[in-house]
Amino acid sequence: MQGFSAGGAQKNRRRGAIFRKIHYFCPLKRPPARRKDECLMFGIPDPGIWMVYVLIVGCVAFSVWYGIKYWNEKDK
Amino acid sequence: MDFYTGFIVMLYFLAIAFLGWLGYRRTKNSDDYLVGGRQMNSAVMALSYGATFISASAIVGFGGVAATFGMGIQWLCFLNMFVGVVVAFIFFGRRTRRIGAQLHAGSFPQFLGLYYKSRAIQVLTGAVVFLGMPLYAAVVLKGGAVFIEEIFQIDYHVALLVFTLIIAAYVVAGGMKGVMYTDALQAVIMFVCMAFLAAWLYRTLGMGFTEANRALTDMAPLVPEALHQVGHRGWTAMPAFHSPQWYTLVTSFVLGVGIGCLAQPQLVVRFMTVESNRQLNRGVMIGCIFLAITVGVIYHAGALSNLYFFRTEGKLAGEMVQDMDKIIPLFISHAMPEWFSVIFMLCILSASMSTLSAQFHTMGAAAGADIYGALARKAREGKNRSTLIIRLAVLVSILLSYVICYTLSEGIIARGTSLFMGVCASTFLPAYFCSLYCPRVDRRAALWSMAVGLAGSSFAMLFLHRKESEAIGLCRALFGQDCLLTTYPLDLVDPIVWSFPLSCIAIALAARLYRKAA
Repeated sequence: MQGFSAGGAQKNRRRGAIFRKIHYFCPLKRPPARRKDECLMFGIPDPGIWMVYVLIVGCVAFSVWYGIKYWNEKDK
Repeated sequence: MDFYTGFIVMLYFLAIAFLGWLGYRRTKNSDDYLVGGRQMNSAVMALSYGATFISASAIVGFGGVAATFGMGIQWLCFLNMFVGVVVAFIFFGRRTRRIGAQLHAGSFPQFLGLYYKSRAIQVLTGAVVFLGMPLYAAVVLKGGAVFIEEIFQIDYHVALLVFTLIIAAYVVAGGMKGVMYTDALQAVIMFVCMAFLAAWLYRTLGMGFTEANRALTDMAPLVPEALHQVGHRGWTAMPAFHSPQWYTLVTSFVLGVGIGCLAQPQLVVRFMTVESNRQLNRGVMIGCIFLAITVGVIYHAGALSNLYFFRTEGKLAGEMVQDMDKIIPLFISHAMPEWFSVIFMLCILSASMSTLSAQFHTMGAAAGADIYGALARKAREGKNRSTLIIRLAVLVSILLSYVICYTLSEGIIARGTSLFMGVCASTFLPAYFCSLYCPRVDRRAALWSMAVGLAGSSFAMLFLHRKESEAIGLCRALFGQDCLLTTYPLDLVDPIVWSFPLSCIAIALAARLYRKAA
């Protein structure tokens, strides 16, 4: 937890400078305000985030199905 | 602290004392003390597993991380559920229970030692647990004491001593039964608290799930410049690919915790506390729902706390309080009804105590049953004597953790959790996996894997990963720099990324070589 703040702003600035120099795929400029026609799922634009919510719900659904199906399974 | 708070806290401690006493009454031999007589109920086992898994730092600390960095941390929740429960129970738990019962193993080190028929493996595993876990326990112990200090406004040293004594009492006396009974109660408190938090949060915000997320998405341009520089792109977006924040999230949280949780001795031993696979099957459902509510809700609430503070105070969560660990408590005191603060306090106490009790029990078992039991065979002569030795070992391990809170520096203690998780995954996981699925791997290959994993993770933490090497300081003392890998992003990559593959390669190569030689 502390790792995020370790080193403070100076380290962040240094890393930020390195980060700016190297190749990466995401735009460096600040995220613009959301466009009205932007595709949102559950109000979330990034598939990397809304997908995890879908996976969590899927995981709960699977666990409930599994638990009920094998509730009284006998050991082989 | 007012009368009602005091009354509820007293009631809580009385309930804990009663369950500890119940565990004591039902503990007749070392099997009861180590694995609850292998007769535990499925709900108790699953809740105990979940409560042990989720410490106070997972709630308060990671909740603060969600408030600062956003919903990307929900991957940790998913991995806790999927790897920590579904994969762990179905693919690891069932076989661990069956083989553990056949071998009469009472702990994780015994399981590995008896399976590979190697005292060296048992002693090495026990030693890693006994020497490594106190640091991990000290993190939780210190966190709990600081929390008690703030809530009850008492001196930190008194808080630490009282907190340690309370846990010591029911762990030493009640053994595994006492630990698991209290864990189950604590898990219920955590679950109810988080379920209420979820409901009240949306009531306070006055909007639904999608609407609140959309409002939070619209706040993306408000991300502070310092956070934007390290990859923050808004609270409803993943960090920018290849940014420092992305590496921390993916390597430390996703890989570190996701893989690390499979070889946690205090979790593995819970599979051996049930009578049949039936309890484990039921446990999958109970454990998953428990984690989805406790962890999922607090991470989601953490991110949405920005929306709440922005609407009520005109500030972001990180601007309300600088320390990330204080965001969730502040949010609770602002957004929730006053009486809920008491329940939330019990929730945090429960999370700390359940994790600590499991750690103390595991350390005691490692010293008393695994190391001493393997080295001094006399310990096996009488079951009562063996239980007494394990109880003494639990006491020693508690004292060790208590002393660590005073002796080691704050920087090292703060890294205790990741240190231990990384070491466990790299040292134990390949050998543990092979014990369940690869019968042709012999003890020498397992020992090689453990040695390489232990050496690799220690080296990576001491010299390669900046967060640990900086805190420990050995690299600076020897080489005059904080870590040997100074090129971005190698210094941010979690040690598990280096050491775990090495350990896997070691077991594969050694197994092949020894098979050819035979």
